[in-house]
Amino acid sequence: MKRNKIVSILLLVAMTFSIVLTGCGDKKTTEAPTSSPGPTTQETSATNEQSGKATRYTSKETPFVTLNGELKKYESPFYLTSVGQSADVSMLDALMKKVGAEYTYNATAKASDLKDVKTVIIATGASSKGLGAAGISAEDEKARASELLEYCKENDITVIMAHLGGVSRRGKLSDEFADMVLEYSSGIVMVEDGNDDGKFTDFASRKNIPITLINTIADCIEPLKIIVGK
Amino acid sequence: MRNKIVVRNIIVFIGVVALCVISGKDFLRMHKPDPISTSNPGISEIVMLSEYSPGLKGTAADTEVYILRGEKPGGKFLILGGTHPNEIAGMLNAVCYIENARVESGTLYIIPRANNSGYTHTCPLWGMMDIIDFQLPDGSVREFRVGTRLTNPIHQWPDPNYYYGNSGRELKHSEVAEIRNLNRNYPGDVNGTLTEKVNYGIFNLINTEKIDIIYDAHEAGPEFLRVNYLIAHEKAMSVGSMAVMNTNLQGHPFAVDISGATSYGLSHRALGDNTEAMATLFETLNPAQGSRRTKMSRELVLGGFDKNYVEITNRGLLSSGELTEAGISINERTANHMVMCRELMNAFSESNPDRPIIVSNMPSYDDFINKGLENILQPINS
Amino acid sequence: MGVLYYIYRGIAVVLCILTLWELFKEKSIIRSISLGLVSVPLILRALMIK
Repeated sequence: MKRNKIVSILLLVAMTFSIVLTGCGDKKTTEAPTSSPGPTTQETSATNEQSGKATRYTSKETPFVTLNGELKKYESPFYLTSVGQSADVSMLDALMKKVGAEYTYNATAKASDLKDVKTVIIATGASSKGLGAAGISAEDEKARASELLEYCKENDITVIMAHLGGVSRRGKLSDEFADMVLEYSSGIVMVEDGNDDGKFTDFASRKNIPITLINTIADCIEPLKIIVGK
Repeated sequence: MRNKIVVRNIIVFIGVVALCVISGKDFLRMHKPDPISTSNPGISEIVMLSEYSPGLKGTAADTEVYILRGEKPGGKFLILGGTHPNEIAGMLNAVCYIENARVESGTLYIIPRANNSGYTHTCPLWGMMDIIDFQLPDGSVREFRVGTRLTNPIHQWPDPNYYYGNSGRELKHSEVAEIRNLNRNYPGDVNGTLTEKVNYGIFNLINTEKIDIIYDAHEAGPEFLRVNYLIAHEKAMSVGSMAVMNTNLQGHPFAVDISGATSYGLSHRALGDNTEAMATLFETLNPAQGSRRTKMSRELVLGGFDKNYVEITNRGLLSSGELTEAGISINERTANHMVMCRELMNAFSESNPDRPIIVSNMPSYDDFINKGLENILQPINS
Repeated sequence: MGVLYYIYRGIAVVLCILTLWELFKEKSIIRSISLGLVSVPLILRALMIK
């Protein structure tokens, strides 16, 4: 009995001690900790051959770089659409408005909507939320994209692929959508983060099409101005 | 002998009651509302949410709605702070707007503590700090309760094992407690649970006052995949994308994503579907909400620094909530909300030049960072 | 909810009386402290539910 009491008391003390240890800090009014500085700037990734990552071309000082050719003005009228229904098409729409471009925008455009269009800019990237909001399945989206791209090929409409979601828009479904559009593309504009594995630069090199890499999505403004001739 | 035992036990009982009274003071402090300065001449009116949801009158969930009307007509913007009371930057952003903003055209409706009941308790076993404070230059101290994301169960009880309300969201299994989560029960029910009555009040306010844009301010732990994202209903995508793009041009690493079609009960989906307003929600990074944080401390809650998350970031294991050695202070998080609100107003005004929302006298982002909330919050008027 | 609430309050009062009765007649000091520390805060909290 006595031993049980001693054990119980020791357990009680241990429990109390553990509660005290995990308690909150004191509430005395002191100066708040030093504020952190303003928006962090994106550091340039160093080339790391051992990690297998692609060479980094852009940085804060070099916001965009075009490889395999020159970024040029394309022929209007322009059309903006999406393959994959990610929010990147809305960001691209906002960028085109900022640039003052004249274009038609429809994220779920059908082939028949491209009559008289000369250049279509396609924002690629899969989003289950975007597909759900548009009320279409991934398979339906692939069918729409296929029909759209074939129409472009048959009617000499230039296709420019825009991949603005960076690494967050790389994955099985996103890459499937991107691969579909790449086959028909005459040019690529993308946030360089999405090219960590060199997929897009390698493709552009093989197909000998220009690829414009941008540091952040906001750096897309100047390339878009060139594309639309502003 | 028996009397001795009874006397001893009475002493034990008195000791326990004394302990309860002493510790109870801390718990009861959470039921006392934090004052907000009303010295800003930009404040036109303060009403209670029960004017839009009569069932809230006299309850702990009734909460203040601050209305700031501009001299010229324009669009209407609703700022929701404190939908989840532990997400403090959202509430502080609302308070900063209340205490500083001057509306030149349009109208601001601001609810700083949307889930007022949630401020009266903290989440059991999380060890969250219950009160934060800021010392102002005049020596006074502004205290704010931290609270937790759900309505207090002493105000809304019991939680049924299954609930299917107006939100269209089935609350069962691990989501049973979400019946007390304001952000799972929109558009609410005038005769529903206490939380649903709050939801209904906000929904009715939006419809009655014909709100154009809703901004629901939140925070999330580093593991959340959409930290620093503006989640927008499809009606709000155009304005939201323009706003986010403008923040990107200013150097802020924000992004936009569309509201999920099956996000039943959440503000960005349910209010977007059931009202004419453009519904948006923004999440800033709060390391104190992470499940892998170190011990709760002032440095973590206000300084936003946690060595565990710095290490996790360095190992490349986070996709959006990365944390550096600099941490992310409450000043920066509140500033992020302020910037997002400002750019949404600007983008709306650009798209609707006949109904602009123009707000002045707000501190800049740099003011928040360099001067701190201590110099932006106003002393409480006597 | 109304009837359920009053039933709950009734049960809480009965449990409160029983617990205090147990506490006052408990012979072991360890058990009376533990009974007090666990039960009294729970009873107070139960009484706070509106």
